[in-house]
Amino acid sequence: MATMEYKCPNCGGPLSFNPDKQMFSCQYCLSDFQPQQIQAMYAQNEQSETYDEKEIKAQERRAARGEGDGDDLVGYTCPSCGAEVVTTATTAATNCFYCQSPVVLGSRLSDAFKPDRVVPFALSKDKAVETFLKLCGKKKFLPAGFTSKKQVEKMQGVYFPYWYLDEQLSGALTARGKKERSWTQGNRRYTETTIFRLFRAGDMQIMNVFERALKSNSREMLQSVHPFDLSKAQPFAMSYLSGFSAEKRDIEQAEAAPILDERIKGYAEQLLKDTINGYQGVTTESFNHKVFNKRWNYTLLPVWIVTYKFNGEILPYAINGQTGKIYGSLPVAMGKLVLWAAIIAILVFIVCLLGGMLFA
Amino acid sequence: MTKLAKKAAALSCAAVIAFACAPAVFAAQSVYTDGYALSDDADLFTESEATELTDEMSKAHTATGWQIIVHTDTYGASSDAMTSHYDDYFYSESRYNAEAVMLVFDTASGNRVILNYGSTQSYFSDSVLNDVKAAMKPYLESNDNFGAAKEFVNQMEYAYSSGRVTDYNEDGAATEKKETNRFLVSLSRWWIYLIIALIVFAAFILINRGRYKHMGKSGTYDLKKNSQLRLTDQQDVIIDRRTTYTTINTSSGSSGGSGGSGGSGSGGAHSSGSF
Repeated sequence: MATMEYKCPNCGGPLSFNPDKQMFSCQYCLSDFQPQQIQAMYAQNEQSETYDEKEIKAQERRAARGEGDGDDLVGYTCPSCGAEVVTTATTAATNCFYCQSPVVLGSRLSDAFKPDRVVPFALSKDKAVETFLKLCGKKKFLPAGFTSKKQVEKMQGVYFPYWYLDEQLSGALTARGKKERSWTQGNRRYTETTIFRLFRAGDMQIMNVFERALKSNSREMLQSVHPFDLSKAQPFAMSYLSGFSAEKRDIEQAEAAPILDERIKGYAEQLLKDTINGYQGVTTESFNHKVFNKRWNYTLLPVWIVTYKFNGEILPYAINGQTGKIYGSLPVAMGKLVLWAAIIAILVFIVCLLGGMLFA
Repeated sequence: MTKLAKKAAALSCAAVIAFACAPAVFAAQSVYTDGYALSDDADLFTESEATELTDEMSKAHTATGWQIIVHTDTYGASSDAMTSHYDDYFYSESRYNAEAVMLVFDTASGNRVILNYGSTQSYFSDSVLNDVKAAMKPYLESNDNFGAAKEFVNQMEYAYSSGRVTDYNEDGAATEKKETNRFLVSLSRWWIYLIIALIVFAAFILINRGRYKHMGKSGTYDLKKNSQLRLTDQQDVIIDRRTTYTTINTSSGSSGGSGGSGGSGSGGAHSSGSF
């Protein structure tokens, strides 16, 4: 199974996941299907491995060893029209450039690369575009064409890979704090300062600490689209990727572990410190922790992406595919901005001149 | 002809001459032109004085463009009524121009008044009017009405050359505020306005660039929502206690004085941090 295409059981047309309905929809006969129904239909295909897939994996391994032709592009055959779909080495789902049929590259998300869970898109493209245009609506100094139909049509739903880590741990914190009380007796004002050594120990569970698992996109963007509601996460099924793009991880667990461990250590210290109440100037003297249990989750999260090339720079805009939260810096058409600033400055000059006549 | 008839004829001729001459003398002392007007109803001026005065008035008109009026009267207006009475007189005389300065002698009351009309009011500030009056005063004190009238006419050029004032009240009493070109005065401060305009220019650009720069806060991790804690031990131990004091100065009602420190000590262990 090099590529997967999900076809409508009724008419054979391509099926895509519909975020509004949380069902699979056929664009041709407008039929809707429950995810479980489609997953059951294609379960066997998703688990089988064909000669093609073996060949593609070998191709990828050669590319990883540097035996390829120098680029990271890999070719697949579109199951709908037979056109060659060329993708980067981390692409796991895309659309055929020729027939626009959704194509899932199963080999990229199988075995060790199979995600544990996926948060399906809850925000449709129309709503994502509406959110984006609402953001841009009141901005007068955007470059011409930034909000054009052609531009927003480029918006693409992408599943990005993330590492999530849950840890069970115990920790002990020693800190120092003080309390003060004052009273008056006779003609004296007394202040009593008492210094305390504060000790806290406890068992903790810290969950859903995340870090991106893809190097190629900006870390700031991938982190800033959070938070996601992970209670809506589903066990991974390739069918969820149908109609969207998806990326395969290129940051391994071992690489992400030190970052997440350090972050969890900080969170654990904070949890214990938060139990110290009623003291002033609390400072940590020592903190120790021991991890009992770790659970990693390789998760795909939904993000709508649109890019804009401005002054030779590619500016990305990311919209959380579940909540609609937006990340990105809008471009400023400096010519337009300077012109308006100049007009306003001239008006201010004239108003000052006329106002000055009143006080002359 | 009898002697009686000759006497009667001679008297008739004299009467005719007298009647013929009388309008001629009156006409010489009542002159109305667009440039000046002399109406000597109180018969203060001789013919030659009237001629000399009207010559001066003509020159003053040429220099100022105003109609110069000298009017003498026997009406007897009181000091309080002078202005209103002779204003009414001025407006009732259709021969007077809108732009005029009028000097009135009321011989019955002995009052004199200078009245301005039209834009001439803007030339007569308090100081200019006082100067004109001061110049006339020596003549008036010596009852030289002709000299006073001539000095009044001569002062018109001075009043004109003193320039206009920008503000005057309804009675024509001008203030000392000289009229200036406000636009030019305001324009002379162009550099201040330029600085303000440049600040607005820069602020507009910076504010708008800032508004476009960062969209979306960095991803936040909700620790409270994603964590559970079960405390297994909790100790709050006193390791030091110190008491200090300041003396309150009660005599002045304000606090102050020197401080001191009390003893220190270490305490035992407390459980559960209750104090």
